[in-house]
Amino acid sequence: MKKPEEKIRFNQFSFTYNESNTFGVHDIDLSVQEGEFIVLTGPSGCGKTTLTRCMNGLIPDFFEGKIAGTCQVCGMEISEHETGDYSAYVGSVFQDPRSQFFTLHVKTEIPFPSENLGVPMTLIQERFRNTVGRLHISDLLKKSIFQLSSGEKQKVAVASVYTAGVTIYVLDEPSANLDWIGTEQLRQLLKQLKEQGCTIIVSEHKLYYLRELADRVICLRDGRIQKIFSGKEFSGYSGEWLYKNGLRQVNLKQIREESVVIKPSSSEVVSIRAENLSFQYPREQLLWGNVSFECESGDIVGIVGKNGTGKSTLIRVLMGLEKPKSGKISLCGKYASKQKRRKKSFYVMQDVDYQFFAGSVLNEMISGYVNIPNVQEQAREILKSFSLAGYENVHPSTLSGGQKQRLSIALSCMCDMPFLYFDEPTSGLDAENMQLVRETIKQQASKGRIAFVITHDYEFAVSLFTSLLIVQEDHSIKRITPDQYTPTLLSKIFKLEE
Amino acid sequence: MSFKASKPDARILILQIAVAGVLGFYFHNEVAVIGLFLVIDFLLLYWYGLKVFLKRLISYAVMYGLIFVLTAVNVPILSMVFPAFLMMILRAYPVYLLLKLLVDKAPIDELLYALDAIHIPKSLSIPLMVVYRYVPTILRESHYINESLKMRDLNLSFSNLTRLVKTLENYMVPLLFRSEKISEELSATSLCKGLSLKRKRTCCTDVRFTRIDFLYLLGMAAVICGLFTLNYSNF
Repeated sequence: MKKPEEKIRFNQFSFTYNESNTFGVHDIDLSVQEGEFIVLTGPSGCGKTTLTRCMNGLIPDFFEGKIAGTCQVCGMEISEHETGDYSAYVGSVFQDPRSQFFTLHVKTEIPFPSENLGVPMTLIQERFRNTVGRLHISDLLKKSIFQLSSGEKQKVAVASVYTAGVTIYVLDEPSANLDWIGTEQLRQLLKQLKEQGCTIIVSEHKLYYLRELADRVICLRDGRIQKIFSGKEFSGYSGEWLYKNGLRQVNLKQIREESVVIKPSSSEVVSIRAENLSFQYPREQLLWGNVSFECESGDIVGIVGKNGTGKSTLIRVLMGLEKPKSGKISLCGKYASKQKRRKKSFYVMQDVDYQFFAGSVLNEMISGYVNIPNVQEQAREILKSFSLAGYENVHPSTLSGGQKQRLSIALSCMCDMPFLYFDEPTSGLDAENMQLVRETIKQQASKGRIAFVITHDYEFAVSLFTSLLIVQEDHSIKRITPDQYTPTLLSKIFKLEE
Repeated sequence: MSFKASKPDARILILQIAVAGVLGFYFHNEVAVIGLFLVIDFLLLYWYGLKVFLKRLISYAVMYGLIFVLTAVNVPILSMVFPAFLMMILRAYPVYLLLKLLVDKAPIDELLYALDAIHIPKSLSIPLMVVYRYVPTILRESHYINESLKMRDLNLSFSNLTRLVKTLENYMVPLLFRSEKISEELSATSLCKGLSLKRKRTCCTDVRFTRIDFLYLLGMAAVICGLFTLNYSNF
């Protein structure tokens, strides 16, 4: 039997970015063999992305910095080669599906890397046909990249590097923006690539979908390899051990289902009531109709359902960003117009980059509340509870992904809005940050607020919700009231989706 | 699965933008300027259908109407500055329409290959393609930023008119940061996908001049001759 070839080799390797002395990786010794499936995991900022950037040659060609030791990919030393030199061997799939395409259509994106590598026309066409057949993506070919769901985008990203004939796949948090179904599609795709003998390196927080695929799991902390586990060994660790080490769960079925009881401390009861709501985008069919429900102070409403069923649109209608086709929304028993609803709502977007406008973290916190006495002290106190003390004078855009997410949630504590809306607040977050977000939402609810949370993250949702809105494919929305809700119901819904 | 190159060739679409730009500002006869717009609007009728044709025709007519009204009714300063500005826009309008046609109809890989074939340096064509890819993305980004501003009551509205500069800053800061992030990610993506100044690119479709392209060029030459005749006629 042929001995597997060594594809990647780190030897006492250290890297520090030019613009930062703290971030980077240190003393990495690692060898990746042909056909291996490696998972890189660890808390935010542990160096996962830096390692993947070394493997695809972006370091040090694109992201410059100081290197010590050696790193060889397919026998080429990264300090001596350009990023493009690796593109014939290494295919990269990035976290954000929006910015990983260079062209605007699926049909042109798939052959793009092959064209850049100068592969002859007839060979590209042959590989193109092969990719479409093997990855079952013929239904996507006519679409523009803007028409694809997140799962489909990741599929196209893999397809384009697959067509180029690469044998090493480096994926950086590929499931961060994916729903339950998209994650399952990704798992199937990775399984297929593994069966074909490809070498796969995935940097991830979410681990459950990689459970049966990983040959080795590499845990990183503070830029160093903390421990290397075999895939089997890692799957055997208890949920408690994983949480203690800042890691996400490997087996979702083992998560303890806890009922959440929120007793609002505020005497002032707020409520939101929707009556016969329906919504339709122009020139499209009805998204959902005949929606009626009511929620009261302390309710944490989970909004679940498949991609494209209109979950985000529902909260956009509730908070006053969209006008419903019919029906009315009342706040605290009185009809509320779009403007009124907006004034009483706070929205934490999936991509928090859009939410920061001020020049510093502290100014962001106090923006709009400058006339309130002791506002700065209050803001500093909240920042401290979100582990953001010391970042007051830093520009929000320079924070890490996890820190940005924490800041956006901290903003929701600053405002006195009774209605809070969260759209996928845990995408790309590690276990510790995920728990922090969950506790904050509970805290807000206990102050008498109503929180609406869209999530596909079962691990996050399981001990958070007190009621549900299930957006169904038949254009209806089913309300599960706090009296009817049990966590078992949620696990059933997620299993149904599985 | 078909691998036919789009027609007309991307080089012809670029050529017609250049020709429209030159003619739009060269013609002194307004009838020829209108003729140039009408020819392009009929092209849009073929590519996009009646709705777009009528929309563009109406917008052109409105601009012309405004010039007419402002010159007929003498409003101080406005009647002096605005018609000249509108006339500039009217002359550049065909170029904008043809640019949109290029972005919509020419696939980016064929465009890169076509530019390579006419020896346009990659150091110019690749940044051009990044811009081409960037425009629709940045439009979406600004939409999200606007919504976020609305939610925090920081958007431009009657109540915020006094804070115009601050509102503009609120809008521009995240847009600039997002732009920087997207451009960094796009550059990293293109490098990982092998886009390089040194390497010679190929294309998965057979990009070359065919009979259709030559016929299109012939038609273009005939239209240009017709427009020149109009320009020098006494209409």
